[in-house]
This record gives sequence, C-alpha cells and structure tokens, in this order.
Amino acid sequence: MIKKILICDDDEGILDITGLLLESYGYQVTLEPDSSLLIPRIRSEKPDLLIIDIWMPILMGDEIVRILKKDEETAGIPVIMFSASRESKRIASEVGADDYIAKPFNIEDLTNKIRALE
Amino acid sequence: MKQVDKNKFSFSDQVLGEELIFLLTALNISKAGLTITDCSQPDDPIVYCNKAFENLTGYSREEIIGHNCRFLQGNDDNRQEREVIKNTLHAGEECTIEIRNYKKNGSLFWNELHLKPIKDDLGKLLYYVGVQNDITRQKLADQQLRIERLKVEKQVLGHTYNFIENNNLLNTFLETVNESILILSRDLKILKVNTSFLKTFHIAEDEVLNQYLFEIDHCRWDLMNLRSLLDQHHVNDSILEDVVTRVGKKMLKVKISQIFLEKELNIILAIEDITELKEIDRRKDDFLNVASHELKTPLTTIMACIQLTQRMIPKEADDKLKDTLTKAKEHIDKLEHLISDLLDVSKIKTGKIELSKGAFNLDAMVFHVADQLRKAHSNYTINISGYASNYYVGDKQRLEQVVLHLLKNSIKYTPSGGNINIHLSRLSDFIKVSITDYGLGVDYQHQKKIFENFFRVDEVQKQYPGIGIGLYISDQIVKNHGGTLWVESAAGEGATFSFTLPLKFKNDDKENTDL
Repeated sequence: MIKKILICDDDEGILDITGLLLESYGYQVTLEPDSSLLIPRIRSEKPDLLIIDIWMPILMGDEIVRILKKDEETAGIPVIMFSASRESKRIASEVGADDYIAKPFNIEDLTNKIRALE
Repeated sequence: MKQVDKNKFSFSDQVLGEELIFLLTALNISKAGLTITDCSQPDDPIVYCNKAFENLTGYSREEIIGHNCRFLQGNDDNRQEREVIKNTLHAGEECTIEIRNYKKNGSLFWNELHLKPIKDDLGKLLYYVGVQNDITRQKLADQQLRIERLKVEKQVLGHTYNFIENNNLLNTFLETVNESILILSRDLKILKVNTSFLKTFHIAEDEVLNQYLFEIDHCRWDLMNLRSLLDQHHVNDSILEDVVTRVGKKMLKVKISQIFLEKELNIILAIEDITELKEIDRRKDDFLNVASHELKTPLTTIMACIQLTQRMIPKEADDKLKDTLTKAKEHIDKLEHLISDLLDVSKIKTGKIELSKGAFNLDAMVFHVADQLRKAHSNYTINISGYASNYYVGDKQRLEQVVLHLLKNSIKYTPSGGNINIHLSRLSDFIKVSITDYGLGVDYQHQKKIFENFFRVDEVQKQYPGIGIGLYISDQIVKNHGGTLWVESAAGEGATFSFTLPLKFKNDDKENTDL
C-alpha cells in the first residue's frame, strides 16, 4: 500500500499544488524543493513512493535516482519521474525509475500510475 | 519458360523459391525500368520496382513503393498522354506511349512507357506491369538539330553578340553581386577577384592575383573538401564548415561553375559567408528549446490548480462553473500540444529527435485515433478500410502524433464537414496509410513547401489559424522510421496525404524499453 509520498521539485508552485492534489486523494505528502537535501531525507523518512523532477539545480533528478537504485537501503522505494521534456521517458528508463509522467499531467493518470505500483 | 504461379509470386509474404530469386535478379539486371502496380488497391500503388527504375528516376525504393506512377509527372500537364493512359487502364488494355517525366532532382526525361495488364483466369485485372525506357537522348538530339539550324540562321543575319569581349560588363557584374567571386584558370591560378572577396577575407589584391588558389594566405585555402569540389567537372555547390581564415573561423557556402572564356576553360568560384546566418539559426533553435521548456513549467502549475479546483468544487455547484473548468483544461491541453510541437521543431533542427521503438498494433492505433476524433467532430464521417499491420516496430507515440495530425488537418481544411477516408494497406514490405478528404486541397505549387517548417499557404493563413509545423514534424517522424510522407491534391478538390513505412527498417536507434 502506498501512503506516504515524497515529492521533489525545484519549482515550488508545482511542488505545492501537486502535494495538495495528492492529499485530496488521501495520500500523506511531504515536499522537498532542494534536491541536494533529498537523499538523507529519504533515508530518514522512508516514503512509500518518490515523485521527482529531472531538471534541477545542483543535483539532477536522474543522478539522484541512480544513487537511490544502487543503494540496498533505498532501491526498493518506487520512483516516478516527472518532467516537461519528452526525452525524460528515456532518461527515466535508463536510470531505473519505475514510471514516468509528462508535465503538465492529468491527476487521474498520476494516481493510476501510483496504484499500479502497489 | 514455365509460367510463374501467381501464388508463389506474392509480394506481401516472404519470398521463397529459387525460381523467383532468379527472376528477380534478372529483373534487376534489366536496363529498362520496371514497375508493377496493384490494381486491387485504391489508386493503383506501385508494389514492385527494379534497380533500373530507381536509377532512371533518382528515387529510392522507399520513396517509390506505395505511390501511383503519376508521381513522375510533376506539375506537367501531359494532358493528351494522360488521357491515353487513363483509357488504357480503364479498359485493361496494353499501350506504349512517350511521356515527359521528372526525376527526383527535377530534371526532365522522356519516358517511353509500355503498359501491360496481368489478369487472372477469369479475366479479372490484377496488376499492371510498366516498362520504362529513357529516350531523352534521342529526343534531345532532335531538338539540338533544330536549335543548330536556328543558330545558323541567326549568324547569317549577323546578330552574334560576344559578351566576353565586353570587359566592362564583367567587372560591373563582379562588383554588383554580394558573394565573393574568384575566376580561376584550369590549373587554379587566380585570374580575377572581386572587392567582396578582398573585404570579407581581409586580403589585398596583390596577395592573390596570379597566385595559385591553394597557395594564397599560407595555404589556408588548401582544404580537402574544396579540392574534391573542384575535381568534379560540373556545376556544384557545397557548405564548408570551420574554414580558418584571417578573420576567424567561417562557415562558407561555395558554388563552383565552369565557363569557356576566350576559348580557355575557366572556373568561377562564388563564396557566400553564412557564418552569421548559421549562428542566428542556432540561437533561434536554442531559444525555442529553452522557451518551450520554460513555458511548460507554469502551465503544469495552472493545470494542477484547475484539477484541484475541480476536485474541491461541491457536487451541487452550478454546471456552468464545472463547464468553465473543463473548457479551461481543454485549452491548456491545446497550449501544451502547441508548446510540445515547438519543442519538437527545435529538436529536429538540432538532430535530437529520439524514437522510442517497440512493437505495437498499428491498425488498432489508427482506429483508436479515429475514435478519439469522431467523438469531438460529429459532423464528420471518418471511414477506415483495409489493413496494414498488427505488429509494427516503431515509436507508437510519435506515429500516433502523425496520424492525429493528418486527420486533424483533414478536418480543419474541410470546414463543411463530410467524409474522411482512411485506407490501410500492405504493399510489398511496406505499409501504407492514406487519408483522403474532400476539402480545400493543396495547390500544386505548395505541395512540397507544406512539409517545411513554419510554412503556411498565404491565402489560408488568415482563415485557418496555425503555426505551420505539424506537417514538418510528421514528415520528420516518418523519415526517422525510414518512410515517406506525401500529398496528392488539386486546389478545391480535397487532398490525400499518404505515408509508407518499411516493415524491415533498421538503423542505429536503440530500441527503448517501454516503461
């Protein structure tokens, strides 16, 4: 069962509203705008799912996913990547993300994808 | 010769049997161009062509299969000949005719065309075989004879005018044009140079006159590709990248032609500095790429806000309020597509378009796209006939984009509503998708241009909004799959957009695993 979702995006507008949307579906959501703080946070929070943007300053989303998927402790956390460019689909598959959604997204598509990961 | 069983001579399935291989080899050795058209399919598409036909026309097999033979006629009227062909095909008879055809590069050739029907035991027309011979040389010899006769007549009248003697004319011409021009002797010594060349490359006249081209400016012009360009003995042009000159690295467009001046062979080298032009083009592409990405970020927030509002709105709320939100969402979708298209253009221009290939049911995809549009456009009847493939390996999302775009175009340019017919077929080792509408049509003069980016037909522009990139993107997607996309139409009579895709296309693209 996925309950706790951690979202990481450097655009706080997208971050807040996506959080509210998922909360309206009953998920417990936490937000992280700074990608460089994400990995320690995942280790302590242990979310059921990570939703992460690709293009972010300092630490890019694909690098983070690569690190998480190599680490035994975090490899089991499902990851959905979301980004505005079409190449993100390829990037997501290369780094071993579990799914991908294009921005702007349809909330039904996103919740369907979340349910499929359960 | 033993007659080939028509079941064996199947163009659709994998060809087996030595007999057929021998036969096909023989056909490929033939000097005459050979085509076979399938009369059971709409518009009699070509299902077979031999090597000689490719050589004769300059088109590759990928560009030939699926077309009707008239693609060689260009914009030429050929009315009389066309009438003869039409009647012959209609009656299922045989004929030989001389017709003006055009190669891929636009040059004219005279085609002696022999058409012969293939029928089954019951006399039903199955295929037409076309045998084509290039008789241009004979035709030209006749013409040349007539021209020579005219010249002699002119000379007798004393109307010869020698341009070469008029040095003034040449000098004025050289100084008027924008390009940098060099006139060289056969052994590449510089005989004449214009001011544009001296100014563009910061060189003095005495540094270049009577010098060998490859020795001037410390051999800076001794470039491999310039040498090979000069080796070819005909008019030629080419782009030379990263040419190091006194004024920095340049991108040059070079055109070479040859001329006899005072009975000596001379070479004219015209150089256009396109460095800045390319830089502006590159900056435009970068801008498109960044802008479209940046535009999507606020759009994502707006989209999410609307969706959140939709979820928060009480059930008993006014329907008008709910409709307004649905409309807003629809228009954001439209804006998103527009931005995606712009992003695609910038990617195509920078060669970054990526295909994510996988096997899918192409016919089902076309049915699905048609279904989507049927719901939104109830005054159109979208019919689908034939079948192409239920197992095609390609980028499903991208090809869906092509079909959707072509259908939307048909709808857009058939404002009165009505029939739109989709025909799916398999021809040899290709699949073909044709979409026919009965709307405005495309004038011949625009039929190639509509596949260029940002091109809009002037008179259409005002009435039908759009930015002119959909067909460009579609064409590029089809090309990336090794296929061809084209239109056949006459203004006011509707249009048929068709594309073919090879079933066995292989290139360097990695097959991406679908998520």
